[in-house]
Amino acid sequence: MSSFPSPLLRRASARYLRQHPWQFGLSILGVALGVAVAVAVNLATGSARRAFELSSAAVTGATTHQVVAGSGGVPEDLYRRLRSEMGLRAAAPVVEGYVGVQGHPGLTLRLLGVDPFAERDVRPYFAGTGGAARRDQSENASGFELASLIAVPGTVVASASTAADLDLVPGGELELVVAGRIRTVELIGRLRSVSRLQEAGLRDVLLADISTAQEILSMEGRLTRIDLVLPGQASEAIVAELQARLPDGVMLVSAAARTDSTIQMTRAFRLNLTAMSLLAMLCGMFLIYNTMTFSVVQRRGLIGALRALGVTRGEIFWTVLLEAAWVGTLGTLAGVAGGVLLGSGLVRLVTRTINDLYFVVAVRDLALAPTSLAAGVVLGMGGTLLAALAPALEATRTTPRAAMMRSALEGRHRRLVPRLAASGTAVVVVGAAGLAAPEAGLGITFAALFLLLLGFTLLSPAATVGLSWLLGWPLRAALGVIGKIAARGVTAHLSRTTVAVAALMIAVSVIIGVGVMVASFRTTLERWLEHTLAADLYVSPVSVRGDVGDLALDEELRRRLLENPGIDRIQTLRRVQVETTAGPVRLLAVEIEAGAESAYRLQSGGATAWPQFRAGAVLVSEPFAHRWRVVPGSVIDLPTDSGWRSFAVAGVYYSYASDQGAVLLSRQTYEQHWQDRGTSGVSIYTRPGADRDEVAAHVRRLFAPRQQVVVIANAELREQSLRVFDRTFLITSVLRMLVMVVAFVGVLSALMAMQLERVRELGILRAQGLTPGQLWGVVTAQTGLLGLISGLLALPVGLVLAWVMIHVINKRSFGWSLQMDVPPEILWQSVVVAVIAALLAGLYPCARMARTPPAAALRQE
Amino acid sequence: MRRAVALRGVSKSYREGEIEHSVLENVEITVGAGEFIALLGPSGSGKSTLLNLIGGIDLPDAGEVEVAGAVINHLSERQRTLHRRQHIGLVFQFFNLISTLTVEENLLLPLELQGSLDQHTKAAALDLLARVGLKERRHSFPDRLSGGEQQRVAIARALVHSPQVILADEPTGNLDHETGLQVMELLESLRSERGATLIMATHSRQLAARADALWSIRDARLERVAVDVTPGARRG
Repeated sequence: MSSFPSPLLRRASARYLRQHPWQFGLSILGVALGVAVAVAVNLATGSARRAFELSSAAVTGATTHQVVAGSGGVPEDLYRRLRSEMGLRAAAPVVEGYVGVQGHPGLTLRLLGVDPFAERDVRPYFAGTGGAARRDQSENASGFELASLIAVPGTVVASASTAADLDLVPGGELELVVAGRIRTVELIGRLRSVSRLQEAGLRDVLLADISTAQEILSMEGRLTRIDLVLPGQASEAIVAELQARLPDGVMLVSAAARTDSTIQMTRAFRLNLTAMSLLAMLCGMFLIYNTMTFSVVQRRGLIGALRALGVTRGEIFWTVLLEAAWVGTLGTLAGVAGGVLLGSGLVRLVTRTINDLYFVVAVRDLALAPTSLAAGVVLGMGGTLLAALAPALEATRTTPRAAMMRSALEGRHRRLVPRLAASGTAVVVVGAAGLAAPEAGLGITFAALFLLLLGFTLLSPAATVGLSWLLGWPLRAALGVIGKIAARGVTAHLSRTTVAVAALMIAVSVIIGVGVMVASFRTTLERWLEHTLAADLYVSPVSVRGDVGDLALDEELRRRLLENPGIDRIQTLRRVQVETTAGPVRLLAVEIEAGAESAYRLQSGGATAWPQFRAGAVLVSEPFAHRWRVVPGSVIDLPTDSGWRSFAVAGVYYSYASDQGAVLLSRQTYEQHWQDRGTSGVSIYTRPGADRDEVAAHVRRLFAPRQQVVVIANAELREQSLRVFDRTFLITSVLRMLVMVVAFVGVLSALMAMQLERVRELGILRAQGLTPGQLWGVVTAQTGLLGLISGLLALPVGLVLAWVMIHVINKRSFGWSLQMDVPPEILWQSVVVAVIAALLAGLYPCARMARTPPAAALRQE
Repeated sequence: MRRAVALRGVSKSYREGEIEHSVLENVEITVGAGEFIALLGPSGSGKSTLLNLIGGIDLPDAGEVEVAGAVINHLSERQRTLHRRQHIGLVFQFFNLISTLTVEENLLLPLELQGSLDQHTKAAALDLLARVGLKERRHSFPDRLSGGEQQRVAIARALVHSPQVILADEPTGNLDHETGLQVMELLESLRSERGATLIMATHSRQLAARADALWSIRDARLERVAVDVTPGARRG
C-alpha cells in the first residue's frame, strides 16, 4: 500500500494551509526571498561572465593561439616573418587598447586595430556574408569602403548598436581620450553583425585599421599581439616548434586559456557573493523549519486522530512533506521571478565592482541562464524539503493516543537541550577543524563556516535557557507578574522560542560579522594608504577603466617637473602588465631612495629583503604571493624583452591595491631587462613652505598643451581610494541587508506563530482579569526578551564569523592580512536591531489578541 | 461464539521519572463477536490504556493482544495501523473529527483509507449519515456542529467501514445527560445491526448497565462485575 496521502488527506492538508494564510504566506515569502537573492547573485555574476565571454569571443573570433610579448608589445616585423618565413597564413596582427570618449563620461571603448585583409580566417566582420575581404573589393557587405578604413587615417567602424549608443551616424566624428590626449576619429561605417550574439560581443568595440590604432594608442611599430588560427589537430609539438622559433621575450599562448585566466580572476569574488546569498537561503530554511514544526505542533491532536483512524506514519510524513512542497513550489516560483528582477539591479553593482577591480566588461542585459534558474529551483525546493524533513519526522512520532500533551512535548524539548548542546559543540569542533586545515580550498572553507553556524544554532537552546534565567530576574523585578509570565514563557515554550532565537541570532551575527569584516578591511586600507602615500602630489595620465597601466607621461614634460622651485624631489613609478603562461602579471618598477623603504611594509623577507631588492631580486605583494604560491626564496619567471628571466623573491609586502597582486622591482632592475623607459606616474615631494595648490596648478599647466594629466593631492587620493572601496563593498552591504530581511520575516513568522498559539493561554489570563494593556506588556516583554537574548547570543557568534571572514576567508580568497577592528557601534546597533525586530514581530499577535474577546480566545484550540 | 478480542496476561506500566506506575497487571479477557462490554473504573484507572492496547495504539509490556484474529502486538507498527484501519472503529470523548474536512469527508475518510470508497460504499455511508440525522449537514465543517452532532458524526465514522470491533472511550463524557443518552442509543442500535463488538469505557453505571458484560479495573486488575439489573437500566 502506497504511503502517498489519499485525496481526502491531501484536501484536509490543503485546507489547513488555506486556514493559516499568515503562517504559510510568510514561509512562502521566506523561501522566495532566499531563492531570489541566490538567483539574483547567480544571474548577475553569470551575466557579467557571459558578457565578458561574448566580447572575448567576438574579439578573438576563431583565434586558437596568440603571440604576445612583454610590456612593449610584439615587434611589427614579427608578423611579416610569421607569414613569410614560417608560412602561417591564418595570422592577424592586433593592436588593442581602451579609450575614453569626450562627452560620454564613464564610457570605455575597446579600440581594436586590425589588418582587414588578414582577418579572413580570424574574424568575419569585414566579410559581410562570410566571404573574404579582397584587395579588389571596393565596398564590403556592411556598406562602407574598406579602402577608406585602410587608406584614410583616423577612421573607424563600429557595430550598429555601438554607433547608436554614441549617437553617431557614418560621417560623424568622435573624440577619443587616450592617455590624457584627445584624438579625433571619423566613423565611416557600421558593421553588420551576422548574429545577435556577435552584435552583443561587439558592443563598445571600435574597429580601425592597424596603423590608425597604432597612431592613436602610441604604439607605432608594435603590436599588442598576433592572433593565430592553428589547425584543430595542431599538436603540442607544432606549438612547441613555433614557440622555439619565436624571438626572446615573445611567447605563444592559447587564446582560450588566456580568456579563462581572466575569468578566473573573479572566482573568489563570485564565490564570496554566492556564499552571502546562501546565507540568505539558510535564513529562509530556518523559516520553513519553524513554520512546518509549528504546523505539526499545532495539529498534534488532529494528527493523533488521523493515526487512530488508521493513517500510517508514512502517510503523515508525506502529507507534511507535500505541504512543504507547496510552500517550496510557490516560494521558488516567486523567488525565481523576484531573482530576475533583483538580478537586474545587482548586475550593475557586480559589473561596477568587476570594472573597478578586474577587467572592463559592459553588461547591458541580464542573461537569463537556464542553469542559474534551475539552480534556484533546486535550492528552493531542496532547501524547503530539507528544512521540512525534521518536522515531518516529528509528525510521524505523534502518537494516536488522542493528542499528546503540550507539556510532554516541551518536556521532551527540554531534555533534548543538553543533547543538542553536545552535538552543537561537536559540530563546532568539526567546523573549526575544517577552517584550520591549511590546504582547504574555498569550497571546504565555506562548508566549514556553515558547519560552524549550524553548531552555534544547536548550542543556542542551552544558551537561551541560561540567558532567560539571568535576564528573567531584572524583568521580574521591573514588571512584577507581567515580567514573570513573560520570562517563564521563554523557557515554557522552548520548542518554539529556540527556533526564533536561533534564526534571529544567525541573522544578527551575519550583520555583525560582515559589518566587522568590512570595517576591519576599511581600517586596514586606511592605515595602509596613510603609510604608503607619503608624497604630497601624484601625477598620472588621465586613464580610462581597463587601462592596465602601460600609459606613459610625456617624458620631456616629466623631466621639466623639477624646474618648479616648489618641488623638492620626485619619484617615478612604471606600471606595466606582462603576459605569462599562467595569466597576466602586473609589474611595478619603482625608484626607492635609501631610507624610503618604510613606505612598503614587509610581511616576510626580513632584513635581507631590501639589499636583495636593490641587487635585482623582486618583492611580491601579499595577494600575489597567495595566488602564485611564492614565499621569500622562491623564484618567478617573467618574460622580459630579452627572453624569460628568473627573479628571486626577496620578500612579501603588504598591499591592498588589487587582489591580483603585483611584482615590485627597482627601476634599475626593470630597465636592465626591459627597454621601456616610460613613466606611469610621478610622486612629488614639495619643499617645506611651498604652496601645494600652486605646484599642482603649475604641473597641470605644464602638461596641458600635450597631455591631460591627473594631479591629485595625498588626502584626495586617499579619499578616492576609499570611495572605490566603499563602491566595491556596496553589493556586500546590499546582500547583508537582504539576509536581514529574510531573517526578519523568519523572526516575524516564528514569534507570531508562538504568540498566536498562546491565544488560549492568554485568553485565560484575560478572563482572570489581565487588561488589554497588560496583555501588550506580557507579549512585548516576552518578544523583547527573545530579541535581547538573540542579540546577545549573536555578539560572540558574529565576532567569530568576522574573525573567520577576516583571517580565513579573506586570506584564502585574496591573500590579504587584515587587522580585525571591532567598532563598538556595530555591536550595540546589532543588539538594538534584534530587539526592534522582535518587538515588531510581536505587534500583530498583540493587536489581535488584545482585540479578541477572552471568550473567543478560550474557544480556540 | 466467535472470539473478537482476547487479552492474555497483558501488563502495562508507565514511568514517570524514577517512579513506575503499573496501570494494568496480568489482564485476561475474551470478548465474543457481537458482544457489548463496558469497562468501569475511576479516572486514571487504566480504561483508556486498555482501549489503546486493543486498538493497537499502544503496546503492552507483557502478554498478548488478539483482535480480529491477529495478535496485534506481534505486528509491526505499520501492520498494526493497517489492521486498525481495517478492523477497528474508534469513538472518542472529544470526538476528534478532522477539523479541515467536512462532515461527509470525515465520514468517507476510513473508506478512502481502506481503498474501498466507490459509488456503492459512498451511498451506504450517506445512508448512515441520514441514520444519525446529519445528512443535511454533510457539507458543514465540524466546528459548526454542536457536541452531540459531532459525536453522531464520530459514531457514523467509526461504523462506516463495518469494523469488527468498536472501541468507545467515554463517548458521552463530553455531552449533557439527555444528548448522551441519545448518542448511546444510536451507537448501540447501529452496532447491533452490524453485529460489531463494542468495548466501551465509561464512568456511568447507567450506560454500563446496557452492556452484555461489565468489567471493572481496580488497582490495575481487570475483574468482571455483576450486571446491574435495576429496571430501566438495561435496554428493552
